[in-house]
Amino acid sequence: MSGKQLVNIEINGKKYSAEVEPRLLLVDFIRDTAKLKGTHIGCDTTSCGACTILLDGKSIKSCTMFAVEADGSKISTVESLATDGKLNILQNAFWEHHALQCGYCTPGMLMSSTFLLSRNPDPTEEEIREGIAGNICRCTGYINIIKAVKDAALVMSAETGKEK
Amino acid sequence: MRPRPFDFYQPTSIKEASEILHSHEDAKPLAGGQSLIPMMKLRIFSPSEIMSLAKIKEMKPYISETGQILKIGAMATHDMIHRSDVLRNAVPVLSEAAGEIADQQIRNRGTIGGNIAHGDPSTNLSAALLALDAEIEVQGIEGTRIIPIDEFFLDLFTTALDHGEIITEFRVKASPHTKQKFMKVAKSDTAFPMAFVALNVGLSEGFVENARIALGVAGPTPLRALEAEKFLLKKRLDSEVITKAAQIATKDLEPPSDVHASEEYRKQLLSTLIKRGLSSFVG
Repeated sequence: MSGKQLVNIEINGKKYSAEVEPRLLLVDFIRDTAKLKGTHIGCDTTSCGACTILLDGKSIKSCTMFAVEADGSKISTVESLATDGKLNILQNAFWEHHALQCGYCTPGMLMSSTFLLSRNPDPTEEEIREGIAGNICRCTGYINIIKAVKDAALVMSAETGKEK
Repeated sequence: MRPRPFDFYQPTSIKEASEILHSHEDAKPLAGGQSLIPMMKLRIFSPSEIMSLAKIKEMKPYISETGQILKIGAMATHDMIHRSDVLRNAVPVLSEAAGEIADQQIRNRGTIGGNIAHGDPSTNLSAALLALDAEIEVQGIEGTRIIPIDEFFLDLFTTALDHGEIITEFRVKASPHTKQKFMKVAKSDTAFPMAFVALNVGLSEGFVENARIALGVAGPTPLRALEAEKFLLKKRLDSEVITKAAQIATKDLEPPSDVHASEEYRKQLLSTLIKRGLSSFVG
């Protein structure tokens, strides 16, 4: 079929529908159609991970998927992390540990780390390095990002302990 | 960078997909898109028609076990393959190779079917499947056929798939008692590989009963070191035999030279990886 296709995608709990060209990339749908500018375009060649989002709970690079392929799926972007302007535990740990300088890679780093912690609530340093291997940061040297993810894991496990 | 415009098809059955491919000569199947989409964005490749495999009901991703045969659906992602306990126990070389593909995001999206159909000599899974003597089930308008992996890769980006055929399943024999290893050298996780090997060696009281050695980025297709495999048969894996096998495996190779590694350096790396891998199976 040629021409535009109707696409329905739920982003951060809100439904978006639009007629789009099949060649529209998911990252462009997120940024230009849904107007959510938190997801960044860095290298645009599947290398840097600045465009990382969660698609049905799994981290992917949204510059390397067509929006039509995401029809019917649920997406989480970096905007889903904070609640009412209050940073979540992971974001707060990035703040505390100075895990960003220019901040361009941060949305992708946060989403990759969110996926890692969703699967592995107590990652080792090696597992954190592996988890963010698809995200490039040109400022921090990664050390503070790794510390932040480790610390976020500790805080999260302490909070889960408190709830029990 | 955005691809050229294309027409988009989204069939829901293999039959429908085969018919679309049969009547549209330029249509290209799209699985996870982790090789195809970057090429389209760079406009290295600009198909005028894309056919998504995502909604085909028979192609939902799966990994299953039927007796000694493990079946992997073509749409299984690298992440699924890497994390499958069944595969990790029965065919560890495949699990290891999948886990070393690029990064987490790409493993979450890329599929084994797309990876192999791409026909790239530098994909981890092609070497692992060669080492495991895999069978590839393909379906097209004429029906279903099985292609042994040894007959699948014809030339650079050229496979035995006819136009209109889609890979639907991979089958490998469970081989928990052979020694298996995947080893790769690359400058970073996401960088193009400099060299890699996949080894699958059956040992009986220290003597080699069977051996399959697959080499990555060693030529225009994924390759087996057939002469070295033959040399190893009935031999005890001591350091002299291992050194000789690595030398035989790499002596006639003509790997590509590029910014990642020169031909000569790739040969040395392949030889070293074979030596290290085989040595890890003894002592």
